[in-house]
Amino acid sequence: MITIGDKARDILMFIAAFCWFFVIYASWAGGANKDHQLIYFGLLACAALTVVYYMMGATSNQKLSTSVLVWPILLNGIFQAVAFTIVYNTKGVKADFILGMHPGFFGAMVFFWLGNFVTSTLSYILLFSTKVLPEDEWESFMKEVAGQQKIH
Amino acid sequence: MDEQLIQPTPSIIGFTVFFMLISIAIGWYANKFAKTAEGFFGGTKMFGGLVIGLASCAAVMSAFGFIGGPGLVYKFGFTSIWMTIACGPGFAYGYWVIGKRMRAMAEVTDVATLPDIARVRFQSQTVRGILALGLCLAAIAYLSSQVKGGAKLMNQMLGVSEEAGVVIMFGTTLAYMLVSGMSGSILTDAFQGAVMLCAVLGVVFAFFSMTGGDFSVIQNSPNFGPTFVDGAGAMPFQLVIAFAMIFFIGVMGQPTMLAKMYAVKSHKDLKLAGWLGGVAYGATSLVWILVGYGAIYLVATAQAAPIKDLDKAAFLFVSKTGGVMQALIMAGLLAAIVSTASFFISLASGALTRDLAGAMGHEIAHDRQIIVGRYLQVVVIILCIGFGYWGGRAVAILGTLGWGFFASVTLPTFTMGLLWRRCSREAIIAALAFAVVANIACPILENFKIWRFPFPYYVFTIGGSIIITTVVSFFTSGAAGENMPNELKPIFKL
Repeated sequence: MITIGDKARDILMFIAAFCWFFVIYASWAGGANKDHQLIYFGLLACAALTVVYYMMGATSNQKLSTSVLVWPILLNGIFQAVAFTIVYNTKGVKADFILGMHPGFFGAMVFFWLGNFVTSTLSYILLFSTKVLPEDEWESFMKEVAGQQKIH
Repeated sequence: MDEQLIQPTPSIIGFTVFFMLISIAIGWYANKFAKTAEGFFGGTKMFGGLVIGLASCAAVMSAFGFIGGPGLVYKFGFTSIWMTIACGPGFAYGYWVIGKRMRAMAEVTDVATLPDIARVRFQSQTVRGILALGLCLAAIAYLSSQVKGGAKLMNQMLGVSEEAGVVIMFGTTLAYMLVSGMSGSILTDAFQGAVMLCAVLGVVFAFFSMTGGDFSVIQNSPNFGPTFVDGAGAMPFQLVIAFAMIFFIGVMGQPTMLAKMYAVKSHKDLKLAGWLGGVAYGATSLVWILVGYGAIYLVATAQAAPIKDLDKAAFLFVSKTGGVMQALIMAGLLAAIVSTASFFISLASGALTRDLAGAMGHEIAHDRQIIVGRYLQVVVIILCIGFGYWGGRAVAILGTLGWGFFASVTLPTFTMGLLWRRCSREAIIAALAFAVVANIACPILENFKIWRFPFPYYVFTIGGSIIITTVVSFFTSGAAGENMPNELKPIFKL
């Protein structure tokens, strides 16, 4: 278990803000100068950003399970990075098809689309009652709010 | 009247009439869920995971995905597809990140609208007011930009004039929205989501029958080439950043998603709602992808002449299918428009009735809110139609408010607000003010050719509002940390 307390969240939010800044810079400078390598680095920052929010959202009572950190969180970032790398390296290239698809098309569909489904949707289904929202966690939340007036 | 690519056959007209009558019947049935303001404006804690999952998919997949998306694929290849392949898995990602916390808010306060949650979290009528104003403005602008698309669709489906098409489409929607508000919207959206999934089956069958799945023809065509089949497409490469990220992370900032998170009856329903919405949306993405590539294939193999109006790409593909298949796909297109429209009508009228008035110190009595809300639904629709038809340049400017605008106001307010105890009231007010001003200023500057970013401006407005929220939160403490009401603290333990 990894503790994601208030201090850690401060750091993660700072990292997220920095990633957003870099994404804007990469889109701006990379777009204006047609610098595709900088844009590619911006794409990698997007993958990092996904991981940062995932880490904060997947905690339960300030604890993040190590297995959840590996799958789905880090794997999600890795799949995205792989997809962006393939797309960047095969952009505009006439190439042999893989399973009826251009390598860039294949990378986007398999690693980004399918990969993201595996790391967000499939993990959500399989881990819902143990890691996303365990029953005892919700019950203890309900017990805590049962004794208080609704806030307006 | 536009060029008639689709002939309104008895089966298309029959499907359309059947679809509209069923929608009205479901909407009226939903009246039993809309007896309170919370039920009418939010459908709060009313529905199971199946309904919410299908409704989320239908509300997020709009006419743009079914008509505009294939047009962009026809013109630019893969680039725009990043939006739709990011969005599907983004559903469950969004539920992972804030689903349980949004649902938990419905246990600590009475929730009917998104600004209700913002007001309670940040203990501020100013936050509530700015958010309500922004949501209302963006919803009306977005709906206005859809009016002509809907008119064109009705023109193709029924062969009626565009004006008559608008009256038929919005009249049908209003017929059930007046009775049941957001509850009606959610329940009819679920039905319309199911119709869209049937259309997907039709599209997949038609695409492979037509093309055999052979993309090499496109790569070797002198009119198209490798950029039309690779993973980046013919648009500038930096757009992949905007589309891949804003539509993956940004899906949890869409009101069409957020409002569903507190509409689930039980916390257990979050599971089905979270995955079904994403999987169903993922299936509907195939319409965007296959219809677009189908249109390219038809032109590349000289089975059809090149088209100039991109919105016609979808109709070109559908025109090459036959009989019932055509009717099925067209019903799916109609479902995509109506489901999104009904949600935004409810969102705008709720924001006006409950939040904008309340934020200005004129809280409308709880038992009168539904009546006022009904009047305002009519006003919203009239505004949208009028603005859509006669708004001229203003529509072109404000019609760009949509996905990016919503994400720039909701990601700081809800994602950061519910994940980070330190997120402060002052920070959110600053971020919302920036987002509203920048999202209106940027398209004006672009439209008048004074200034434009080399990337979609909403990357700047979303990133800017998040950076502002982060920085200001480090130096202010209103409704943050220990200054947060005790009633909210259990949510941060989830």
